Amino acid sequence: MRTWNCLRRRGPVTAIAAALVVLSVSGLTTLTASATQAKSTSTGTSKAPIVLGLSGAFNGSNGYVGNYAQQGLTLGMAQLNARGGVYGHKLTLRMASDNCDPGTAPSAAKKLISDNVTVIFGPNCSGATLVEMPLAKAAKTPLLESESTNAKITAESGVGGNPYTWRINASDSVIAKYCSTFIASKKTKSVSVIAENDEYGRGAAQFYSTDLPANGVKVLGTQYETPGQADYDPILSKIQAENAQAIVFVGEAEDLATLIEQMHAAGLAIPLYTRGALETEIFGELGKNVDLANGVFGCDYSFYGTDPSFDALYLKNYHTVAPEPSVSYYNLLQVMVQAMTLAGGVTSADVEAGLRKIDVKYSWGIAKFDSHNQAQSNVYITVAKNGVIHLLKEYLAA
Amino acid sequence: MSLLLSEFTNGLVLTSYYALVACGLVLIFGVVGIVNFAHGDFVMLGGYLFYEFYIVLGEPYLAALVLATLAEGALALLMYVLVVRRLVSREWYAPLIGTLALSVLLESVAQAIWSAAPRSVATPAVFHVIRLGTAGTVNEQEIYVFVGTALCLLTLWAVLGRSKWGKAMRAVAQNREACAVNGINVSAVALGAFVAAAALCALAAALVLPLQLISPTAGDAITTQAFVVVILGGMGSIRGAVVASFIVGMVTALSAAYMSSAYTDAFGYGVMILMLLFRPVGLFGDASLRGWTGL
Repeated sequence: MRTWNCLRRRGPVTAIAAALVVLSVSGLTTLTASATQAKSTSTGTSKAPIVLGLSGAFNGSNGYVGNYAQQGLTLGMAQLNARGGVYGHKLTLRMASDNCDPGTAPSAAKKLISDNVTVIFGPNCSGATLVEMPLAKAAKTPLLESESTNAKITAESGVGGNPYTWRINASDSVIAKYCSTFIASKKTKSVSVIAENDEYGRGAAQFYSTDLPANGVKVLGTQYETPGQADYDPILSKIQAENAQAIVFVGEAEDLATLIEQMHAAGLAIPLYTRGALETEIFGELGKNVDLANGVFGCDYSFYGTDPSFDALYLKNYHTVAPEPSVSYYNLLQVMVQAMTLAGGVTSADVEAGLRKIDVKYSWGIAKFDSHNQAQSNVYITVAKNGVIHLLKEYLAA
Repeated sequence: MSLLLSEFTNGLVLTSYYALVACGLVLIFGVVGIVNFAHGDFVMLGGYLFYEFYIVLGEPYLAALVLATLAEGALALLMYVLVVRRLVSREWYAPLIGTLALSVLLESVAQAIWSAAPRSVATPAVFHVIRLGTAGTVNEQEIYVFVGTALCLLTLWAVLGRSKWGKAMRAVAQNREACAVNGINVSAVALGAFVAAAALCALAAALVLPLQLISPTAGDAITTQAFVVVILGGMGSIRGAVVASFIVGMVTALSAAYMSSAYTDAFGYGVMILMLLFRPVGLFGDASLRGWTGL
């Protein structure tokens, strides 16, 4: 008691500072993200709005991804609301920050569930998704995924698992298969793998450890990095000493930009194949050194330019090229709306029922779910050149 | 052998980075009398100031380095006058909570101004690679880091050891009350130390961050490493901070090469825990002064 009395006597500065820290520790970012929800475009319709939830990374090293996701959803919602919404119900959005962190993600999911969202648009990070899945199941709220790629998500969804998680993007088990084939086709004999030290990175690395040797490419070793890691020099020195002919990188765009710069700074001129990181954001991050990314390959479930109408819409609103997460969540919204249309309703149960029936082609694949609630997604092999990502090869969903 | 020499070079870069930042932390702890949990964010702020001068305004590298250092010093002066000065004389938790809050605030402001996406501040020197035969490679920017750090540390040693201002700082660090009684303006000396520490952070940013990317969260990792270094070296010892920087920098680089990069941080923390168990005052701390050696 004496301590709190002391605080009150000391004046406003200390109290404010203490409050800031308490709030930040208790999840200020979550509250703040929810407080900055997108404005409802509803204009007084008599039907209750459909409340959608977005669990995204709005803070931390992945903090830009949540904003991109919000942009994609907001643009899609505005289009739908302009046409009267879904069955007359306008769409609104609640957001919560999962920080791309399994420790923070449960708070984000619980916040959205307490807001009675109809659907949760799930995290872009596999670790966060895996911990949110049981919470969505307990709340009987569909958790829709278009970003996380860990194979466990498929394994734990659908029959015998979590019936409330649905994923439209390919898992790393599929992407690694095609990526390994492509790497082998470039006559590469040995690679070193650098992967994020989390569910996403470790989950993907295990498939490259088997798929590459199956294609005649030796994996010399796997090094792990922390998202947001500033210094790759110790890892790159080791790879140089191993005489690897190429590097396979499983990580995020921001880390790819750092890796590319430091490879050049170390004089390490070997091919770089990336999983999930070759996105247009890296050109902005590299600034005037955008040419450093020339020749970097990407293996991913997404590619720009496959939806010109959304690209034009994004360009008109944000005056720049649509980043991948924006397209991804926009696609996911369209799949959700299609499911609601099929089911003839707008509740969570209607979304579930519609997703079981849906069979529709969209820009990145086919939204038709198997017994593990996994849809079929295209896989794209790309290459960066002069600040633009070019498509080299595509493996289309059947 | 080539790997060992390459990692030694990498370790020296880390040593330089940690040494500059940790010396600032020691200055603030010793002279100002607080533990500054926003210290890494001073590096982040210095990095963005450097970015503005070097990338946005197109100033030459050396000019951008000097301008960023001066600008950071000015901001530090403002932070000290508005926030830190009021916390110094409070209960022990007030500066702790206050600097934590300052850290959150600085990151939020940086994200609002520059967005969360990282940015490159690479100089042409980063890509000027010098091959050392079978010993590996080093780039020109890394040489700037070594030379710049050496000059900074020598200057710091000279100022602290031989200048009137340095003597005042050491005196305040040892006994604030006695200094006040003897007519030394303790507050002014503390302000000087705070600004000098922030300037060291800006120098560290301008030297090392061209080798990396700058982002609003760039300060988090360096704050933690700086504390590891300071605890290992002794909370009040500049010499300890330099030696500990070398140990931590080498452990980080060599463990990534010879053990696993997944546990690089763990090795550094492990060394710190061993130090706390067997010699809590640190390598150069003074047990009679509870770790404090007066710089």
